[in-house]
Amino acid sequence: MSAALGQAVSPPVDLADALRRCAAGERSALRAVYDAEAPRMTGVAMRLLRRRALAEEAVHDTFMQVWQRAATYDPARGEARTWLYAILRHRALNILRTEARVDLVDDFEPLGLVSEEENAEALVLRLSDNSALRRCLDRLDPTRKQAILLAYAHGLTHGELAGRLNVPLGTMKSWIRRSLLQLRECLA
Amino acid sequence: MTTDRERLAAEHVMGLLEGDERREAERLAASDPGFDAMARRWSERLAEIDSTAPSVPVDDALWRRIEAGLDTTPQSVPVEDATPVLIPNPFSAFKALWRSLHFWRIAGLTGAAASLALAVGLGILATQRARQPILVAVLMTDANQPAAVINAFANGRAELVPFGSVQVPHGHSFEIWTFPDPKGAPVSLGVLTQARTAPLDLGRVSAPHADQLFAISVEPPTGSPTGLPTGPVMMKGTASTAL
Repeated sequence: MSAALGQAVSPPVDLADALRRCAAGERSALRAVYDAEAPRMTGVAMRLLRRRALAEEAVHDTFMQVWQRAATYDPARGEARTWLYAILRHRALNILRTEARVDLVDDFEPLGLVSEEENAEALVLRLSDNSALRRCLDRLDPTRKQAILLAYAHGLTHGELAGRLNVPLGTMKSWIRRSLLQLRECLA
Repeated sequence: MTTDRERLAAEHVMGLLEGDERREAERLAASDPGFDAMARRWSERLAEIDSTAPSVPVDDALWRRIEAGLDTTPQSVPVEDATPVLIPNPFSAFKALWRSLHFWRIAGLTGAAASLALAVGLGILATQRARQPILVAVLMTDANQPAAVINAFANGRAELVPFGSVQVPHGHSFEIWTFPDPKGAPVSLGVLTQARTAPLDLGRVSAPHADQLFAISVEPPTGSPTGLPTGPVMMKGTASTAL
């Protein structure tokens, strides 16, 4: 993994402005969002869905929704990038939880937990040095930090996390709950 | 978490939920602005993790598929000047007042101002009782702007009142849906090709109840071909008891 992974590939695009132009029906603005964000979006979707075809489906559907709903994006209510990735994550999780579940169980196991992609430490290191989220994640117990990151980045459920990290389901649920509470307080 | 709702919002954003809890979170995100705001704050807190995903080169074929889909994808119309919610229509109350005055003048009851005022008051009360909805649902856009009101009356009638800034996308229709059972399928209440005040067909559903979800989706001109929403949801809201 090179350091360039943390950088945007394309020149920066004012996403909020691009969404405003999408709302006015400018396809070139949607293309600009695609050029700037589709590679990272595909990466986010592949971490959740594992399969290229499913990830591209999630990205495709996200751009359809962005085109439909660009007028409803309100800059006063949050970052354009967060809005964009919330749509992507919602779509990808929908595919994961409702459409591709049976498929995924078949080929989930061989992937294991040991690849660099799934290593929580490697993931934290890709957050910027002065990131408040990184500082707060590092305050969590290492196993709980791993649970939070596996859930968010790889879409594992409580039950899957309990299995992976070899703790009872009830313990995992309370770990997650307390870790989220700690994160919220630390980030406040 | 301080409340179970906050835990649900956080775990929904994390992607941890499945089954009933996931459906419950989806329902709350669609119908409860407070829950939606909590979820958005969690998205902001955790968004940075997405920046750690590898960049995967994409080819033009994916863009061409997206572009091909745009021709058949209607865009939501922004709601610019959201009209304040006025329920019930004050104009009819004013007309009732005027009619009451007129009536009582013709009847020759030009006596004490007090009795006139009383009569006017009674006229307004009677009008309000007939016009008073028992349930009101304010439908909001994704941008949290009120876009329409659904009024349900004691006599079983119901109406949709869109606000002036709402338009049906050209070549499409608005289909109005409700969820009599929060976990069940939506039921269509009618199709509109123009944004105008219209009666709703409650024939297929039992009397609406508080917290019942209403939504409007964009559909082909004759309504959804499948009997379920197929286009984007333009606005939605839950019913509240009118006081």
